[in-house]
Amino acid sequence: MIIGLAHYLVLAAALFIIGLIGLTIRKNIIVLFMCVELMLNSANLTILAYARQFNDSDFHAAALFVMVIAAAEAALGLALVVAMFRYRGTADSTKLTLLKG
Amino acid sequence: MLISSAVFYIFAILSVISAILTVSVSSPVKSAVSMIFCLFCLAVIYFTLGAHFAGIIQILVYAGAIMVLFLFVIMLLEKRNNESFDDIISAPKIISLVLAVILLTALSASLAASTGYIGIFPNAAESFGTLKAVGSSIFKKYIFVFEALSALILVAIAGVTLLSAKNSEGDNK
Repeated sequence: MIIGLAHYLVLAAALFIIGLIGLTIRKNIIVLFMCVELMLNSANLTILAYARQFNDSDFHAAALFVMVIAAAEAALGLALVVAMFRYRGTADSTKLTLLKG
Repeated sequence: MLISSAVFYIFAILSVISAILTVSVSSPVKSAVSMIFCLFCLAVIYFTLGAHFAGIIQILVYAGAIMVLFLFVIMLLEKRNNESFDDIISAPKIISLVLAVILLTALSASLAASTGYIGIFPNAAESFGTLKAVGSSIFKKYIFVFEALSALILVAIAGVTLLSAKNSEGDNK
């Protein structure tokens, strides 16, 4: 019942894989963004688990920087989704066929 | 020790369940709500790691700001077009699912094979994860990264403003 680094790493791997599966099977672009956020969160969990392992608070700063980048990515991505919805009238990623040969 | 491991197991299982719900529920609103629940569970897991400041920022920024932004965009766009899962059984999806399961197995197996870090965490230092330590790390050691990220946020604000502005005359493709 002793919780160590390995438990946190397995949890982070499971969340990352769930996000990856969501990226492959979903079509709605907003849900795809949520899957990306899930994968970023699992990366954050890995960083924080290693911070606990190495007793170093610098890792916490790295995790906060990852959160900042995730916020910027979500804001820009959602603005792109809104613009795409305005032009195309859909949020389905399979309907974006402009570059398809 | 028993309580902390119980807290870890409960919230790990809850976060995995809500993550699976996030990717499997067909309605985007329900998906976003279960994602918010998953982020709360992850914040509790950050607390068990001693990362109190990161956990609070997780609740405030992720669950409070980013997911509310997601919900607003979903409410703005959705006209009841739930995804149909009729075509979920397609060859590329099955192949990607199998590859994902193989990747998870490989990650867990490599973790089990490495013997270095298995076991209990070392004792935390007195100042580990406190606001003072994290703040001095951000504002002294990584001040350049901090300033670069603020420039990144500024660029993101400008980009969002440009993208979401109403088209002026002339460029209304």
